[in-house]
Amino acid sequence: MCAAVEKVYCAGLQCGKETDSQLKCPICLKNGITSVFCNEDCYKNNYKAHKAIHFKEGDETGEETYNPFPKFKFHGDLRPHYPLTPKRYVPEGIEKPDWAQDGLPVDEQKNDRTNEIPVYTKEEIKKIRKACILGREVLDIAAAAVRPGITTDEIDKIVHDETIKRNSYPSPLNYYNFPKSVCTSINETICHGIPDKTVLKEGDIVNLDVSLYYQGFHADLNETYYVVGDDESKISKEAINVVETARECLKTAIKHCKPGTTFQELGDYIEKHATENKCSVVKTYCGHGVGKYFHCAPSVPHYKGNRAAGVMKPGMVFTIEPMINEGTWKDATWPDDWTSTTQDGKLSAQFEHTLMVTEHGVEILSARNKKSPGGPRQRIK
Amino acid sequence: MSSTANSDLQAIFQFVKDAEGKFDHDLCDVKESSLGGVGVFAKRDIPAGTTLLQLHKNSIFSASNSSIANLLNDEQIDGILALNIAFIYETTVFKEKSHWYPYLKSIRIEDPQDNGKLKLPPAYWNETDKGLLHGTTLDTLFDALTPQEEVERGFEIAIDLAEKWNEEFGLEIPKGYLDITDIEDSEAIESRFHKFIAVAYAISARVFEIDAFHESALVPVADLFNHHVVQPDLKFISLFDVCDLCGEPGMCKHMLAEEIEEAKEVERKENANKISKKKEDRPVVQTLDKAVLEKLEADLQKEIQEQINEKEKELSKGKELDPDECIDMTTINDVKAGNEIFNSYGELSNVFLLTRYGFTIPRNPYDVVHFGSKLLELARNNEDIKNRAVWWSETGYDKYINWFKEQFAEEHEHVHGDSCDHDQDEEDGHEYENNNNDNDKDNDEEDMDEQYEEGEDDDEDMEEPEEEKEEDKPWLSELEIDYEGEPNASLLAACNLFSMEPEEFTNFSKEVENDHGNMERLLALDNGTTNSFLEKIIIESQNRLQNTLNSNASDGINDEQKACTKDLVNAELEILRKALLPLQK
Repeated sequence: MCAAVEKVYCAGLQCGKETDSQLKCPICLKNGITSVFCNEDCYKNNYKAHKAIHFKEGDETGEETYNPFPKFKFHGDLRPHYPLTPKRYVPEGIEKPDWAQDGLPVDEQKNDRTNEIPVYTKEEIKKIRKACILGREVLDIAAAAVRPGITTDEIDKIVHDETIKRNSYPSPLNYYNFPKSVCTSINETICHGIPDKTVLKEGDIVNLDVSLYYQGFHADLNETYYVVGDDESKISKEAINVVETARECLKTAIKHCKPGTTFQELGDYIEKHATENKCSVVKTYCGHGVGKYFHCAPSVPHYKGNRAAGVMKPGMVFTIEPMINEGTWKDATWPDDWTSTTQDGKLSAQFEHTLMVTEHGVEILSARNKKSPGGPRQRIK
Repeated sequence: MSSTANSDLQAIFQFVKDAEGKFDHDLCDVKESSLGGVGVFAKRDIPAGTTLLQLHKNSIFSASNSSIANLLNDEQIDGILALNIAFIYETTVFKEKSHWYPYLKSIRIEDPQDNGKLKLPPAYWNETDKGLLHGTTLDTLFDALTPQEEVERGFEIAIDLAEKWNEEFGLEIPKGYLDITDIEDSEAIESRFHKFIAVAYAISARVFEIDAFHESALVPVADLFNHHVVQPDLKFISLFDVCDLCGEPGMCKHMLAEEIEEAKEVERKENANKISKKKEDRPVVQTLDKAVLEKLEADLQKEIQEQINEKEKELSKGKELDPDECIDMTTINDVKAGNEIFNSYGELSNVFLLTRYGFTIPRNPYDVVHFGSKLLELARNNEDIKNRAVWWSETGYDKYINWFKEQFAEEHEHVHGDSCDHDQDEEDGHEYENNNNDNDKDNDEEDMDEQYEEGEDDDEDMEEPEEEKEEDKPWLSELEIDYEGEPNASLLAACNLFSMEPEEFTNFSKEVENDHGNMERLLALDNGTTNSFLEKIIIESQNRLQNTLNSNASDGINDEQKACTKDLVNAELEILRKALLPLQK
């Protein structure tokens, strides 16, 4: 019997093609990692994203962490803790979206029309509902692991493993070359935090944004959790206020969803509640259509006075995911091109559901259940 | 002429500010204009090339930006009809919930000074008031006193959609506009129809052509600038060539996706070729040179540093608007402090201005007097003229026009083939055509219909009726005397032809048919009979217009509209007066 030859894929996130090349990254080899590239060009093109997995110079264990952007003026206390772990493996049998290989969601780009909001058939909705149930299971399992001392990369592993266990693909993985399977956004991070070796500590807040692709449909949901150890008092009243306000903002917006509601008015309800609680609303990132595509029309801004187009009709599926800040609404992006933080370094919290408009209202497809970890806390005066 | 109430201006300015648009209040003052309504005035001397208004295209009111954009898209409704329906929903169903409302509520379809009377275009005036325009070019050439079927069809489509959306998912039907299901009273239905027309009229008076995605839109503040017939101070700039699916300028995700797909296809084909190659041909082991790695790392550090610098700059300065994503209004002349700043809506006659915008201006050089219906009337009553007209229409006219074009080749570009007096101003006008877009450029009669075409594929329904229409007959539609009182080539030819002695006509027509007719003969105006023929039809037209001028208005229209009708008739009388002078010498 001959040994099965395992397929080898180019480690370039923008390439990902099957290859029989022998070109291996020499730095990875020293770290005990095999990263094969098609050719020198592939290596060069993908260098920036790839080098994120390289160990700190001189360290051969990968235990030592480092800040890859020492010259960047960070807006708060949070820092990236590299190296990242290598791209996680998704088994051959799992249905993958087109970006899994090279990072570009061509199908989605091609088919998204600004003013064409998909309305799903009953059959399609069944599948989206199933994807959302799976998404909720994965988020809950990941959330249960949130505790002081765990790294966001460990949470990523949990999300990744639980997702593929459910025959699903973790939608964020390689989406526009996002390197991981979940977004983990700590404290001043608004969204799109990259799981790395950062250790969660007591009193932090962390958002886990889970998206998965199951039988052709995406689910998208997130929640912000308190990192609680033995000492409950480590959670500041500011953290509780911003987290609970964000939770309530989402709830308030959902209450108004029904056929005939305009997408633009949701921002009014969200910002009103945020302002009443002395918080602000992020403008740069919006809710979005989800289902057949990870992101599509409609665009659902969360701030008041926005001029989003569109009105709700039964069968539409979209997310609302307000990002609520303790201080300024303004955001800034790290040089990793993903992590978005508040400009003043103050806290930001977010909650997200995938929703479907029904005949007379709305169904929360990604709803919590009784066993879901997290949940609201009393504000402290 | 903007009829925006002064009290609404603050709401509009606030809207622009909230939308992060820029309107230069230091340079511009919006106040009452001597033309009526408000206008924009220079507070200080403004040099040419100054951008007075810049708005992101997400803050202009287009159907694509509206609350019901997706519904209109699903029904494949676009163009002006889509904009009309969107306007009605925004202002009657969504109201305060719509963030367009602070701007849109300033656009009033009722005359606040006149008991809330609807402002309608002439085709929807009562018969008495239409009498104020009888026999004018508006009536005879543009047929603008007859309601257009397309408009009524637009109303019907809007009603059907409103009912459909209501049944499908309970979207409220716009009250007082499209709620006719349970109404038996024909007056109540007519009042709704008239409101629909009034919306269309108000929109047509303000609409700007934007781009391939937005098509036409209402643009806050831009619509406050009044029209100058010959010397506008401003140009309206909007990049027309954008993706019609998402509105993005340049490389949008749709184009990108297409490009990637193409590249993948090419690669697939190349790979298919490679597979046939033997494996041994490929290099077995490759290594990365240390120098390559070092250079990569150095380049990356440089790139990151540049990115950091860029971001810091952005943070301290704030993001600039991308001009490709904006509409701009920029001065093309120096404007003196205190002067009104004018836009141009196009080279438009008063007929066009009244029909589409609801105003007229004195001494409009694009005004003409048209003789199509006059000559048709003569032909109906005189068998001889009728025969000549038929011959001219079927045989002579085409030959004449061809001859004329050859003869006056340099003037060929003047499509009208007439003596119209294109001066410097037109040249200026063309300069900003590539940026497209002041509202309209050609005052072809068809434009009036075009503005009402709706998005459905309705070619079959749009077929012209069999009946003779002037616009089908170029020889009739081009019979004009221009603003200077000069009859054009078509009119001269017709006058010569119809005033020939019978024998002369027989000979002439034969010669023309054999392609050796003396066409020059048709341009002459020194022939006594031709002269008196022209004089006669001018005087008859004068008498007719004089009657029109003396007729009384009902209270169906407001004073401003009455004044417009007088201006229009007087302008044509003045043209006829100028035309008579050389004839009566």
